[in-house]
Amino acid sequence: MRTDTPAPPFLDVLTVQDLMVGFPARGPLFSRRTLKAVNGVSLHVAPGETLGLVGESGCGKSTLVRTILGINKPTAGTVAVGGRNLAGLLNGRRRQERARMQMVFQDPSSSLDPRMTVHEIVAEPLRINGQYTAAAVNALLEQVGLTEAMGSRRPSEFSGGQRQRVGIARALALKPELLILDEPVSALDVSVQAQVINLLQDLQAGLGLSYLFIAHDLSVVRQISHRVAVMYMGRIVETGPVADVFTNPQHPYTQALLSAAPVADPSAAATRQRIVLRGDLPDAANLPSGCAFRTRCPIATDACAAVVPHLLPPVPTQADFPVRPAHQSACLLVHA
Amino acid sequence: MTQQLLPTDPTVLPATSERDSPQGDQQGKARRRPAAGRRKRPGASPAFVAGCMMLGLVLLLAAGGALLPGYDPFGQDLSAAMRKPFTDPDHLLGTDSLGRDMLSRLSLASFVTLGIALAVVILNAVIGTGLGMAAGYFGGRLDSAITTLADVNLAMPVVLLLIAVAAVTGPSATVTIVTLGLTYWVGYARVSRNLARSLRNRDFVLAPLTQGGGHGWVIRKHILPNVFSQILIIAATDIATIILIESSLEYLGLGVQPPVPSWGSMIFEGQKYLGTNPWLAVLPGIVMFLTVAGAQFTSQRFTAEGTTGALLRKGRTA
Ligand SMILES: Nc1ncnc2c1ncn2[C@@H]1O[C@H](COP(=O)(O)OP(=O)(O)OP(=O)(O)O)[C@@H](O)[C@H]1O
Ligand code: SF4
Ligand SMILES: [Mg+2]
Repeated sequence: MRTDTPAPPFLDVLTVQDLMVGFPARGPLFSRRTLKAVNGVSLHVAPGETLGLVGESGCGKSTLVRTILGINKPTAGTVAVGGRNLAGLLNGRRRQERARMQMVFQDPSSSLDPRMTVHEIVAEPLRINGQYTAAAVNALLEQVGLTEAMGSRRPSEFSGGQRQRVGIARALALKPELLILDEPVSALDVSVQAQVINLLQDLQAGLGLSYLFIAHDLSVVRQISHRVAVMYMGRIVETGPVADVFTNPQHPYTQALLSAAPVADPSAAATRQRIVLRGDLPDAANLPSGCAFRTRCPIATDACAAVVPHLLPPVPTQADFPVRPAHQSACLLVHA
Repeated sequence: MTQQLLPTDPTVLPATSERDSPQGDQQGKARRRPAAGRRKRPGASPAFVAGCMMLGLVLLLAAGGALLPGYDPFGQDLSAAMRKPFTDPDHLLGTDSLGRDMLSRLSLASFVTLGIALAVVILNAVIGTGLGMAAGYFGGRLDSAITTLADVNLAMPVVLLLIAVAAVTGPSATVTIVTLGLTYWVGYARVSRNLARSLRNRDFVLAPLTQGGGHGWVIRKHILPNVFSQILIIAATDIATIILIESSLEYLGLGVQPPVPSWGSMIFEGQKYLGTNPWLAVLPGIVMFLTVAGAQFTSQRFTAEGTTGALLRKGRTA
């Protein structure tokens, strides 16, 4: 768990405000409705900081980052890079600003063109932007622990971990300030995961990078993140410094996620109570009214169906573990 | 490069292993394609060899005929008309009703017919691949428009169309090339549309889009190269069909005009003399058969191999 706090930022590298992304979906009979994959998300990442984003499969994590990178179009909300709203920029300028954020994809075997050599893959962003030199590509390969000689081979000749290094080298080519990592290690063996995580931490220390790090695996998020955000059905339900959220989760969903995760410390495992989630994820095209979590929430009340809870700082209490202001959650009962 | 030439030499292996990467992946040893993993192609199947020989013969005839001594496809010599093959040393394959050298005429006809077919196939491939990639990559209304266009195209009676066009412009090789070239592209469009559709959401296509590359870049660098091998396969199978269609048009007199010969027009001419000298129709028939059968035999190897496409296969199993 990281206890160091990054230097106080001047401007966040990335600021997302009330982002909404909808996809057309089919309703009953011939009706149409909107699948709200991202339903009003706000988040920010400071220079040198890692924000971990966790949530179940299908909760909209990939859609969120694809929208940040301009692959999907938002239906509402803004994305700002270095404090500058991308929507207000001309195309060329927007592209430039967006290049300050680069993506590392989940599955290295589908993110690398099987027909290209590793050298060509890493060279591509440089070529697009007219900055290509062979030396620059070799330096990038070296930076991620690959050799120049490996550049002449194709991705199929590499292991998963090495392929992910290629993906990281490509993402570093344009000297970004922020890497968006969409489950960068979930396709890898556990032992290889640790090496890639180490590489990412070394790169962050060396280059002062910020990370938006997406994962299902809570232990990985805990290890690499300064702050975490927990996402459920297109919304962030809890966010805060990693130590606070992991030791004192406020939202029932976060509590359930944490209680399901294996714990290294047996005494902690004995004392904590397991909260088992009932039921499956609701249909994303037909979300429950009020709190989207209410169909699975163990403590839901009637009010939960009527009111949409907002992400709020804690109410001051006399509890043993006072909740710090940066630690926010979106649950009616927490703020009752 | 030496490493790849000498995959079994133990001294070159470490260059690929984890020792070179500081953190050393556990599964790090770069996976070499094992020799057995290199899929054994059907290789030298008898049909493939036969097909190559047949095509080779026709190509030799088309390209090399003009170099033969006594090459003259147009010179008439009524005193030496209607010679049968192998009866006159000056005219190895005999002469036609006007005493023109059959070998020379067959050679020129092959050159003309193959040239037209090639031009048609290239035109088809360019149009079909371009439209198909655009439809599959951009989707939406463009996709529906192009799909509709393809359906309309399939419903069109090409021969009637060609007759109509030729009636207006007069028949010529150009009319044949343009008409066929504009009408037989649907196969290319279908395949490249479906491939482009499945490729456009792959991460390696999205990556350059997030790095400042435009759609043109993505299509040129990632979609086209991945579609190209499939297009070649279609072209290889299509060329036989195009030759048959083209020849039937020539047979109807819609195409290159006399005295320039083509297989179709030679067969038409020769039919008048089936009773006296059947070779006049049989010889171009044989050349046409060799070409069409040869093209079928050779292209079978690709279709057995590549209907799904190496790329998709790799993507699914990985
Ligand atoms: N292009 C699209 N068209 C329609 N629906 C989509 C599209 N992309 C995503 N969705 C839907 O949006 C929801 C969120 O998907 P998303 O891929 O963002 O989830 P995720 O959190 O990244 O999941 P995972 O952990 O499996 O990657 C899902 O219900 C998905 O079906
Ligand atoms: S608002 Fe209600 S349903 Fe939602 S998490 Fe809180 S208690 Fe559960
Ligand atoms: Mg995802």
